[in-house]
Amino acid sequence: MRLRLAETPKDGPSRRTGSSGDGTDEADLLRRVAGGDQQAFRTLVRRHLPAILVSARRIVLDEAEAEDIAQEALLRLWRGAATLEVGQSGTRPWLRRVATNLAIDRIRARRGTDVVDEPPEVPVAARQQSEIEETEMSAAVHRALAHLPERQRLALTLFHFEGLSQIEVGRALGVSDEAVESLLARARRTLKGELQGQWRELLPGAPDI
Amino acid sequence: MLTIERLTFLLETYGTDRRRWPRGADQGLDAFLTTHAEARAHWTEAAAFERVISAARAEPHLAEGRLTALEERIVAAAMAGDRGRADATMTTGNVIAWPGGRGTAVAGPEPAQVVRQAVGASRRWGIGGLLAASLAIGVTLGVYDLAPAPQLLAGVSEPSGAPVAVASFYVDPDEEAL
Repeated sequence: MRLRLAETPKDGPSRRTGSSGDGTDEADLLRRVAGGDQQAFRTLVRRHLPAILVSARRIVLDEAEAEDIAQEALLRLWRGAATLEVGQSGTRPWLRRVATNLAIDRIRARRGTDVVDEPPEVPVAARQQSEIEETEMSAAVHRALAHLPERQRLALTLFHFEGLSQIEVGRALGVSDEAVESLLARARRTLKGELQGQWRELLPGAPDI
Repeated sequence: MLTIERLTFLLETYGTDRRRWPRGADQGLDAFLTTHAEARAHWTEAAAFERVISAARAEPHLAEGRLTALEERIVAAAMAGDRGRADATMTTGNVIAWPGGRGTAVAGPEPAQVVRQAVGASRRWGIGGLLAASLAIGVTLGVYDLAPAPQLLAGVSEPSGAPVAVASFYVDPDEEAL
């Protein structure tokens, strides 16, 4: 069974740089990387590492594995810079696609072994209260996601977070269109139940806490 | 035609981003929401739920030191690595990517284009490998015919004594998966 993934359009800015880079800038960096420019490569690593880490981690649920995947994705960029063409979105869509594919390959490789059912502990830097609340909500969602059956989790992750279409998710998981619909619906229903304490607070008329 | 049941199904499956719904599924949605309070309530609930799960999209708050250490590790690995295999590693894993399907706005390079390049490059490597192997076989047989040296070939001989030409191929696992 092969995995087939498309690029995701859901790239946000990097926290470390404030930008995911425009296509022109990235094309220039890529040319320099192709010529062996270490500084240009470092710039791309710094710019895209957090995003591809989070993509990988959402799928493999393991911090060390996610780091290995991010490293491999970036090394593929380094090795293949001379033949990679970037569009307006720069290298990030390609990098995320590589990372996602590598992550699903790892999931496949570990089939038959126990799946990690808790999200990884992530060291956090000192930050503002709003960010802490955001992170707490994010952690709650990750916990709930981690408790989903694997196929439901992967379907929801690939569709909702990685931006794959229903067809692409089906091909990636080796299931039919209808099965993807079912997986998505069941995943969302379960999550909705587990997270109702959070989302009900956001409804109009909900009491402020 | 939309019904409450159909809307509930669409929201449960695809969420409130109607661009990700099946083609044409949102026909009449605006009017339906305007005229059905229950539909609006479902929509509002689904939107609130999505705001919550979208929190998981946030990039990780890794400690700066840890991120820097990983960055250093990656750059060091790149500097220490061999770039000679670039063409063979330009696929995206054991996969083929294809242009975005319904609801997927593909940005940047066309995935298929990138993969086509990679496949083309891998094929070129494959052809080069075959030529090299042919050369090795030819040289081995030629040497054997011209100057048999059983003591040198003993380690790679069949039990019958016939020489075995040993050729080494690099098989790109990505291409193999195609």
